[in-house]
Amino acid sequence: MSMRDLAAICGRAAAGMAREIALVGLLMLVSVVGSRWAMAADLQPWQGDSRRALEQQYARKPFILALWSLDCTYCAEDLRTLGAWVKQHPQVTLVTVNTDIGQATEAATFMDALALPAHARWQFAGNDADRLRYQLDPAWYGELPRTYFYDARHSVQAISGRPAKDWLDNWGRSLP
Amino acid sequence: MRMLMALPAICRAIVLFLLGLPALLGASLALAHEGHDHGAAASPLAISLVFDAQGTLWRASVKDGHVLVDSSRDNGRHFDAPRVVNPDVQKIGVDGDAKPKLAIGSAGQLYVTWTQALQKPYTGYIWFARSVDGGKHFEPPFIVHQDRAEITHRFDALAVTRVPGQTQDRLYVAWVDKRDLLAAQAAGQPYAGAAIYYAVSDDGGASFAAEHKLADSSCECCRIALVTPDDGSGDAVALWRHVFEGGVRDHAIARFYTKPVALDAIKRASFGNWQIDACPHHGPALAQGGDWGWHMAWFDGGTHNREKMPGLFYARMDGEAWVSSPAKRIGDGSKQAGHPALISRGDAVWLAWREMEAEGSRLYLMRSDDGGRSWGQAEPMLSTAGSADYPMLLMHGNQVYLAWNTARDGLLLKSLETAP
Repeated sequence: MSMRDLAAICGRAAAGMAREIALVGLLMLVSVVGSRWAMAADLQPWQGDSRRALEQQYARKPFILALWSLDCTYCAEDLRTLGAWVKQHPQVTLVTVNTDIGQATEAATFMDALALPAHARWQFAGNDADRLRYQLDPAWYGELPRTYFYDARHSVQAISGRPAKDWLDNWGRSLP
Repeated sequence: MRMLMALPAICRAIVLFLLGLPALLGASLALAHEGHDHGAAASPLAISLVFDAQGTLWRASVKDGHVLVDSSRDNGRHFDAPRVVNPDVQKIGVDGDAKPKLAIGSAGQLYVTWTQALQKPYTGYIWFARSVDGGKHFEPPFIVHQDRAEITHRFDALAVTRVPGQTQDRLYVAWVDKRDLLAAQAAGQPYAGAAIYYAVSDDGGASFAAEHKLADSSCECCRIALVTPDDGSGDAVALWRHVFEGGVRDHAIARFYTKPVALDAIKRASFGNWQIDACPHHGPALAQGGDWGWHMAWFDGGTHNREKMPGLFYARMDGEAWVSSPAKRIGDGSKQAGHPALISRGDAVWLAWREMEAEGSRLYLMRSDDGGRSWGQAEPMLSTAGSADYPMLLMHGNQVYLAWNTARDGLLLKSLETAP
């Protein structure tokens, strides 16, 4: 085997390796993007215009927008009540928004433990929770739980604290 | 490797990819862990500030799981290298009404408290550390309370005073505590809210005596306003959001010292009748008003007040009869006027709060020259375009300062008129 043959073989091997390295890189990229997408699908980033976007997404449909935080003592029970209620009222969509910025793992663990029916979960994004709150509703001062009840015409009732079971049932009956 | 080379290229690529996966997973777990421990912002904006007798401005802040203390000799324009108060990384409460507290002792000691968040939701420990060499070093921190159950001990408040005839400072640390709620739940008894507990040190923070209960049925998630009156009594006065009959979240006030607090020492301080089973995350402000009593400012949710509107309120509290003046509405409720600060000297009182704007937020200030009976107009003060902490009012000598920690503009310090 001449030196030229050896060089050609090495060259082909190198080209093959380069293709493999590129393939490995591509697979890794796909898996990183995939895992990021999976995280994003679990807790979607809530931004200043998210409420309006949600209203468009659920146009002519009733939905409940429930805000909660990890240090809100009343939120777990409230979310359980809402979860059980939408299970009995499947025409109403539940959307939850966690207001703790940067605590995705804790928020997801907390929600998983509640075992609510599958629903869209969001979390405040960025670094200014006060502004997101103000953009969501200037009349909301941050008390939690805070829940917005949309009927199909998107007439909205905002409630701070836990809505009573009777109130919830009445609201359900009022839906067309 | 030779076996690997014998495989078709595509299989080799997949094997190599699978070999690399654990490293990739490790990296993404490490990222998630970081987010879990420290939150998105590396340096939360919630800080504490205090001037010492020489005019050095001291700051306590939180970064990467540490409480840091640094100082400035030019009113906050430049700070020296920070001292790390807790050597071990902790998850430290800096959300909502929580932040590390900092106080100056009678001989320039530095006293710091903070809340360490534990694994379970709502749980925490209250930590304390001091520096007795003018802030050069901090002694090893320790937990203030003797109860070590993994339950709520959160929202620490700190105040320092001198007791006549006593050589060392007296320190009060108060916090929100859920031991009584959990005991009641275990016994199948109803219990509204949490409790306020406090511990006292009479040796300048070398140690704390066993904690006492200040009150049952406090709000679970609001800061406590804790002040030591400048009257030689060695007492402390606390104002906190309470849960009154029927789930009404008004405020209670109490004067106390080292002994357990009698039930009738707890007085109702506000009458907004905000009825709500929720966490307002919005605690009150308190300042001493001469020898007659106290200045109070607080947020009311507006379900049952006269205008049925949320907003900020101010009232005077008589320190003998424990009767408050009619509540005065302050600030623009449509712009989320909130998170008040109060400071007073003689008959002069300054009251600051924050309002939201289209971009960012602005601080407003009101001044009274007759002990809070009448007030001047609300004056717009500092503003910032990004996120910001709540306002603080500080005093050095006779000079009053409005201080505000902002994301875009850093620490803003504005000198107000000189106190009389």
